[in-house]
Parts: sequence; C-alpha cells; structure tokens
Amino acid sequence: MSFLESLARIDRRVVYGVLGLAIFLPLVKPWGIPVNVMDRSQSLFTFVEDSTRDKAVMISFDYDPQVMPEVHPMAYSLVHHLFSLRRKVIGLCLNVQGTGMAVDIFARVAEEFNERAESSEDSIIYGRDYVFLGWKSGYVAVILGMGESIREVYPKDYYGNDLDTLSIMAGIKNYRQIGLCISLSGAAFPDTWVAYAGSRYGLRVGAGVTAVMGASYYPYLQTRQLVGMLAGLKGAAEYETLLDKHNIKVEEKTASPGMDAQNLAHLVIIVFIIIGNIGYFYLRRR
Amino acid sequence: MKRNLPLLICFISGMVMVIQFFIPHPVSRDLYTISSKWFIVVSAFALVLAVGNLIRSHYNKLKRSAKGWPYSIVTLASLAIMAFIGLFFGVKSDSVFQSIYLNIQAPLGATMFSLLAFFMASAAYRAFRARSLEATLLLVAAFIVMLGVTSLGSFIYDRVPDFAEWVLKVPNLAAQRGILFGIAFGAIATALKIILGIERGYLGGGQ
Repeated sequence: MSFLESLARIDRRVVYGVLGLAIFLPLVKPWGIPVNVMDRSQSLFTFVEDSTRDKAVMISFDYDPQVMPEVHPMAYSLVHHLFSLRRKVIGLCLNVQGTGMAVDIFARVAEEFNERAESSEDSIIYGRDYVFLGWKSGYVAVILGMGESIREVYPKDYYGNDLDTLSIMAGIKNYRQIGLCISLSGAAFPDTWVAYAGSRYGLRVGAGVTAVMGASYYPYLQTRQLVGMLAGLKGAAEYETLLDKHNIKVEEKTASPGMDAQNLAHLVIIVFIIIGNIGYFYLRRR
Repeated sequence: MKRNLPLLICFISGMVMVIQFFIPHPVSRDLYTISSKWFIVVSAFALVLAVGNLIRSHYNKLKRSAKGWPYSIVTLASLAIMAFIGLFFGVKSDSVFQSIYLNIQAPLGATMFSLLAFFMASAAYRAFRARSLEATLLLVAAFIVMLGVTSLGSFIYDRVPDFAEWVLKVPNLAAQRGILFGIAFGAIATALKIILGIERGYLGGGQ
C-alpha cells in the first residue's frame, strides 16, 4: 500500500488519538486566541441590558447533564449578568433533569455575589432577587398556563414556599411582567417557547443551545422571534467576553479556556477530511 | 362504543380547543385555564405510569435472568435510592441528592455526550468525500462554518466569521425555513386527521 493510498485508510484509533491530543494539549497549555463575538450573541446581551429594565427575566433550564459542558457556562454567565444588573430572576425547568443544573447555578452565583457583598442591598437573596419554581410535567401546558397565571401553574416554588410569601413575586402575575425568557436547552424547547409563549402571549424569547442545534434557529433569529442566541461553547465564551468588555466581574470562566481545545479539534477534523479526500482522489484516479 | 367513545372525546376536545383559540371571551379563557390544568394532571399520571412500567420491565428481566440483568439491579437500586434521598433528605443545593446528581450523574452524562466528538471526527474522515458537485459544495460550506464559528476563523482571516454567518443566514436559513414549513403543514394535517378520527393509531391495536 503506497503512502497516498494509506491516506484514505487511516485506522480510526489514530483519528481518536490525534483528536484526543488536540483536545488535551490546549487545556494544559492554552493558546489564548481572542474570542470574536457573533451578532446572535451580541443581540441577546444587548436585549438583556436594554430591554428588561423594569421587568423580571425568566430562565428556563431545559437541559440535562449530557449537554452540561456547552450549556452550563451559558447559564452561569447569564445569571451572573442578570444579578449584576439587579434584574428579578425567575428560574424554572421544562426538562426534569434541569432542576439540578438550576439549583447549582443559582447557589454558586448567589454565593459569589454574597461573598463580595457589604450590605443586604448588595447581597443576592432568595425570594427577593431570584426564585426557582422547579419542574412540572406537560411542558406545553406549563408554558400556556403561565401565560394566564404563573401561580395557577406553580402555586409553590421548588422548595415548597408559597409564591405569595416571596417578595420577588409581588406584582408578577403572568408573562406581561416578564421582559424576556431565555430557554437554555439541548433539545427543541426554545421552539416550544417561541410557538406558545412568544406567538400567543408576545413574550420575548432568547435561546442558549448546543452548537449542532444553532443552525436550525436562524429562521427564528431573522424574524426576531428569538431576540438572540448563544450556540455551543463558543456562544458561552462570547458571552463571557461581553461581560468582560462591560467590566462585569466573573469569578469562574469555564467556556473561554475550552475554546482553544475546540479550535484545535475543529482544525484536526478539517485536516483529516482533507487527508481522506487526497487518498480518495488518488484511489479513484488509479 | 369501545372505539367510538375515545374518538368522540378526541373530536370534541380538539374542536373545543380550536374554537376557543379564536374567541377572546372570559368563559373561553376559563375553559382554556381549566384544560391547561387538566393537561398537567394527566401528564403527571403519565409519569407515574412510566415509572411503573420501568419497574415492571426491569423486574421481569430480573425474574427471567435475561441478558444484562445485573444492569436492571443498578437501575432499580438507583431509582429507589435517589427517590428515598430526595423525599426524606431534601433537594437543596447542599443536599446529598444534589451532591450525587452533580458528582455522579452530571459527569457520566457529559462523558457520554463528549464521546460523540470522537465518533463524529472518525465518521467525517471516512464519509466526507467530494464525490460530486453537491458533496463538494457541502464540504466547502462545512469548512467555512467549522472555522467561522470558532475563534480560529477570525484568527486566520477576519472575514471568515462573516462568510460563516452568510452561509448560516442565507442558504441555511432558506433550507431550514422550508423544513419548518414542511413540519408545520405535516403537523396541521396530522392534527386534523386525529381530530376527525381518520388517524387512529393512538387507540392502539395496530389500526
């Protein structure tokens, strides 16, 4: 077998090994390539900054641990951003596994703020600054039901507190008091939010999805049915970059350090495809 | 009667919800709110059914000592342990439940999903060949998007992300919109067939 012929027949274990190294090495020694911000991420950031001033923001943790490496950093940055802007944050889940994700994010970010806080005003307090409603079965009915009354669907929060006893919920009845809902998901939940809460109740919707899902949401971005979108680890890294640019201090950046590994992994895949095609054309010509 | 009653319930429920959508009246809204509550309750019952089915299925596997029966023990034990811990020790951020979730389930799930990168790389190497004009176009578009959506693209040449955005915003968007229209029309047609009793697959029995 000639060298050119062998290019079309590289053992899959070699592909795995090279890709593994391409992911591992930049994590050990990062290159620090700057992250460029795409329009879709910038739009979401701008909307959060400018258009949610006197309203609460809903974050729907619709993802599970499988997509945690991509979506969890988005959740972290978004909650950080919202807390720093002093927006009222309402968390909920349409995916039952998202509850653990939401509990983790809220606890971590609130703790970071509270460590730096000098007074009660600076602190992030559960029930005053944020609330977590938890999960309910039948996600379409949950979305539609909250359009009429959030309390009808969630009379109590995730920890069993009556919503009427939480000061954050004073004056919040339904989507009219919500400025934006961001669905963080590894499945088609943002579509559901757009179709039922966006179309029927006029709720503005944003999305945080995995990289492979990103392309399928462009029709919604063009029509502004989605105000913006974070896609994949890059989307999370872009949001971290935007927070940096606006001097919003984030303790723990998890997406940006991973970008070097993703960059090199993409490059390796492209090189393998080119190598495979060289071998293929050689074999075809022969 | 056994067949007609579910068809009748489906027809009335479907038609009522369709008509309700176009009537912004308090009575109509109340009906809608009640229906939403019912939907949530029914979904909750479906969950109980699903858990029951899971237990029965794995119990039967154990009873027959079917292939892979030790995994059934793991499934049933995990289900029981997590339910017990969650119900009796709470689910707060510092609870044992949350600790198990974050330290066992989350890494396991993330690891399984991360393995996809290796399979995708291997599959792309073996299958992504410029066999025809269409395949070559697909290949070129894939290269542009793969580079453009990472920071490597702008590092190599600052217009690469713009090319990638164009691919996503024009040809990709056109194709996605076509697919969405197809899905929407398909969903409307299927819903009408179910409401009108033409499509009866949900009744079971293979009819």
